[in-house]
Formats: sequence, structure tokens, C-alpha cells
Amino acid sequence: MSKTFRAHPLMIFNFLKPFLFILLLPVVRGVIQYSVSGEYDSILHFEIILLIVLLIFGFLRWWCFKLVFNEQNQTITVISGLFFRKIAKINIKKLSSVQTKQNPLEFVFRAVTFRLNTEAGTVNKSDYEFKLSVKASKEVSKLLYGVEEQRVIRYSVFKIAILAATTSSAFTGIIVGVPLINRAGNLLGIAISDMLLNEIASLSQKIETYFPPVVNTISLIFLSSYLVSFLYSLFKYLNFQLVLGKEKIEMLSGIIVRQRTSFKKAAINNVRIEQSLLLMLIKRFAMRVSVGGYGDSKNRSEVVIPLEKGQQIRKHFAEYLPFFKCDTGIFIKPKENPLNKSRFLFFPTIYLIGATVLAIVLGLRFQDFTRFIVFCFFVVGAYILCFAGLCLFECFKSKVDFGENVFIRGRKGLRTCELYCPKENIGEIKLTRFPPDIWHKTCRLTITVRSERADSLCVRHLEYDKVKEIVNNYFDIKV
Amino acid sequence: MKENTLPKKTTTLWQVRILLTAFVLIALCLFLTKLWVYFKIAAIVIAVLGLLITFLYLPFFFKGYKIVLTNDAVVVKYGIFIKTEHIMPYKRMIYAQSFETPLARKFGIAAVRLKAARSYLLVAETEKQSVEAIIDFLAEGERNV
Repeated sequence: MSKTFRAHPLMIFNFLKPFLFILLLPVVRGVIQYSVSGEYDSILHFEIILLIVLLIFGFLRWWCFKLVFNEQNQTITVISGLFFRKIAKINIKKLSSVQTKQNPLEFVFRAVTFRLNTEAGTVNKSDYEFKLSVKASKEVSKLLYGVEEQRVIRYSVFKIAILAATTSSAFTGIIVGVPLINRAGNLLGIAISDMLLNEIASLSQKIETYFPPVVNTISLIFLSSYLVSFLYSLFKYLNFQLVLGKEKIEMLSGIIVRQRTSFKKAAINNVRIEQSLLLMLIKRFAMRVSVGGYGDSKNRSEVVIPLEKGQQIRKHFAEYLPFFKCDTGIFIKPKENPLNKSRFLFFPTIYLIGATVLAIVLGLRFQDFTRFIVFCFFVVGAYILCFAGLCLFECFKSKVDFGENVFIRGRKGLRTCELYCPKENIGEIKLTRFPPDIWHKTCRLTITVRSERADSLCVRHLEYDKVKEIVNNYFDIKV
Repeated sequence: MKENTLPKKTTTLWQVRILLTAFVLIALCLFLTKLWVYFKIAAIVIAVLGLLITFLYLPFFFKGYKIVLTNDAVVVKYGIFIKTEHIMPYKRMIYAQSFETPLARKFGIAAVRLKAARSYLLVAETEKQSVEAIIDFLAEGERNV
């Protein structure tokens, strides 16, 4: 028995999206101009005809789109295309996640953006994205995952704010904020970016510190960018709910744009428990799961727990996710001796010496910029100290456990990371030896998960012979 | 293990495609001759290449094009100068997608794209019935093609 679903008519306008600014807006402007002054440009005729043609094509493309759910064979068939017809048949078992998103416009028209994701999709794009009515979307979700008992976990605004603060960065703020400001400026015909920069420059002149005004300007730009990123993340995760079913995990988030992501437990490739610098201060962790072919960006993973104690995460999820069962006693970790400790601290020391020497040289060479150089040195120095702290964490806490599941603990950039994944999901095992490693008979072990996201974690300064022996026995391969 | 070759229609379809493309390019070059006389040479080169590809390369290429369905994988063999053998295990396959252009529809044939994580295998245009059988087989996990 098969059931056919049609896309929501709002999808017609989705097809017109590329022409919206170059065609739809001039037509609207022309019509308004005609109704107000009774005059219009001769090009308006052409624009209206083109718009009608595009609308007809959009309508036909929408008409051709079909989603067929076959209950007997457990397959979904997506039929699309007017001239270039595409028919894709996907086995439900091969779906990695299903996502529904609803923006305010879709809310008004009772529609949702429905995304089907598999591990075969292209980067930065879902395999299939279309609009469905809310009713149809609920029906499709029910057909895909069935109805089962669910446990709903809600998180407080404080936890969400901490998550937003830890996942935000000034860089993301710039990426999100700058195009928005530019677009708004273009639309209104005002140079908003220039106005903002002037405002920041005049404000930084007023703030009196030891550092020169340029430092205040840079700091203000970074802080405001971080604030934009923080607000973006906060609104994205606000109202976060985790729904745990027997076989399915579902996440709901967002206020302005509501998002629902569902995937089967079996679709999870690996679990990561991470701790950023900010989370370290409050001794909390965030848990993420990596699902193949997930979301807008294929290298994204989904936050399952925004803020919790490490032990509590493992305790709560030990029964639910089998990934945490990996304590078999076959493990390897770096030796805790003064030599190894100094090896872990080698790069932070080099960086600190380098930064100090560079700051002194630059300070002597450009004496007018001494205060700016001191500021830069403090910022770089703070980063290096954080890095040194994490290197010490690596020295004492990093570990690889080879059980039914593999557990790796180490450092990833400026955050600590624990990676759990089933043995069969291991994609690549890499042993790297630099000249000092050959000298000290050590190596660095990098394990990469076989998934689209290809999560990897590296543990440094492990005894080479021991690693070779364990890897050889565990994976039944020769290194 | 079953070895399949492509129907003659596929060669004809590609011959039509190449000839049409060559025709458009030649017309463009001849139009541009007004600007620069040497576009005539380009038009001649395109014409010769188009004829060579259409009547020599394509028939040989599609004659050697083989689709093998083994118990564990789909194998596609092709190539004249560079021989390629593309193997895709069924286990790695995520889904199959058929693709047909208006011209291919006229010939009653369609291409199949077998999608796997981070890669895909493209099977050139073949009979619609075979395409449907391949898609059903891959989606439902049956091995009766």
C-alpha cells in the first residue's frame, strides 16, 4: 500500500526565490508607482510577462513534485522535475535524519520545510528539501518513525544561554551580522555599516584606558560581533527540548524559526562529550551526537545535552545509548613522567617565548605603538596559557580504550573532547611518528570515525610498541 | 553474476547530443568571425572533433560499456584509452536516483545515479524497465535483477 503526498503551494515561491530581488520587487515597485502616479516604465510590461512565465513554470514544477511512501516495501520515492525528471527511491533504513523547519511565514500558511537527509547527500545541502503542509509533515513523520512512548527533557534558559555563549564566536557574529547589515543598508538605501563604524570609532575615543583608541575599536567590534553570534545561537536553541523515544531521538528548538530534527538511534555514528574553556570554569560538559547527512551543513553535529555534569551524562545515557559501554581494561595512555610532561609543554613554551621575543622586538622597533603591542601580547599570552593548560590535560587525562566500543579522550583545539563510537564505525587508524617520536619510541594515534562528518581525535606521545600491539590485536590488522 | 550492455539508443542519444552541441558552438564561432577572422579555424576544429567523437569515439565507448551486477556489488566498466572499473558494494549504497532529460525521454531511456556516502556511481542511459528494476532492487534490497 502506498500513500502519495503533494508539496505545499508555498513551494512555488521557493522556486521563484532566485528571481525575487531582480524581478518580483521591481514589479511590485512598478505597480505601486503606477497606482500612485499613473505612470510606469516601459520595461514593466516585460517584467510582468517574465514573472507570469516564471510563476507558471514554478506551478508546473510544484505540480510535478510528489512524495510516495510505500508501507509494504518501506521505501520513500521522491519524484521531481518538469523537464529534467528525477525519481529517487530511498529505503527508510537508509535515512539518517528528517528535519522540519518552520519560519513565521510558513507558520501563517500552515506549512513546514521538510528535509530528508541521508549519508549520500552533497555537502552543505540536504538530499531533498521541500515544503509540506503541517498535517502532511506529521503524517510522514508518523509513517517514518511510528508512534512510540517518549520521554521529554526540557532545559532551562540559563543552560541554553551558557550553551549559546560557549558555541558563539566573534567570527560567527561577523559572518552572520555583516551580510544582514549590508542587505538592510542596500534595501533602505542607507550606509548602515559606515554609520555603525563611525559610532564605534567615536565611542572608542570616549573610553579612556591605558590602551590606544584603536584597541578599544577592535575590542568593541569583536564584542558586538560576539553579541550578535550569542543572540543568534540563543534564539536558535531557545525552547530546546529533547524527546527520547525507544528507537528515535527528536530535538525541538527555536522561537522565531521552529526546528524539529528526528533520527533513529541506529543512525548515530558517534557521541562526543565536549568541554570548552567557558564550560571548564563551571565544570560542565555538552554532549553532541554525529548523525550522517544531518542538516544544512554536513559537517554539523547535533547538540543533545547543552549543559550537564560529565558523570550525569554518562549515567543518564548509559542505558539509552550503548556507546558508553567501553570499559574493558584494554587501554593505552601517555606515560606520566617528567619527560612526557615537558614534551606536552614543548609547543606552548615555544609559542610563549616566540610571542615574548616578537613583542619586545616590535615594541623597540615601533615605539609609538607600544601600548597596542602590549595589548596584543596579553591576548596572545592568554591564549597560549589556555593552550598550555589543555596540553597538561592531554598529558594526564588523554586515553584510548579499546572495548566493544572505542573511547578516546583528548584535546581538540581549545576544548577537551571525549569520543565514543562502536568498533565497526572506526574508519581510519593513523599512527604518526615525528623525529622526536622516533627518538623517544612514541607515536601519535589518530582515530577517525567512518562517517560523513569524519570525526577524529588524536592522542599524542603514546608508546609505539604498545600501540602497535593493541591495534594489531584489536583490529586484526598489521601496522 | 550478470553482465549487461547498453542499448543502441544510448549511443544514438549521445551522438545527437554531441552533434547538437557542436552545431551550436560552430554557429557561435561563425557569428564571431565578424569580430576576429580566426574563429573560422575554431569552427573547423570543432566540426572535425564533433564528427570524430560522434562517429568514432562514442560507438566504441558504449560498445565497451558494461554493467555487472555481482552478489555483493555493482561494477561498471568503461573506457577506450583509459580503462576504468568502478565498483560500488551494495552495503555502501544509500539510494538510487533515475534521471531523464527531455531528449532521453523521447528515446525511452534514463540514467541512474547510485548514491553512496561521499561518492556516486553514474550508470549511463539504459532502458527504462532496467532502470526501474535496478532502483527497486537497490531500494528494497532484493537481488533478482
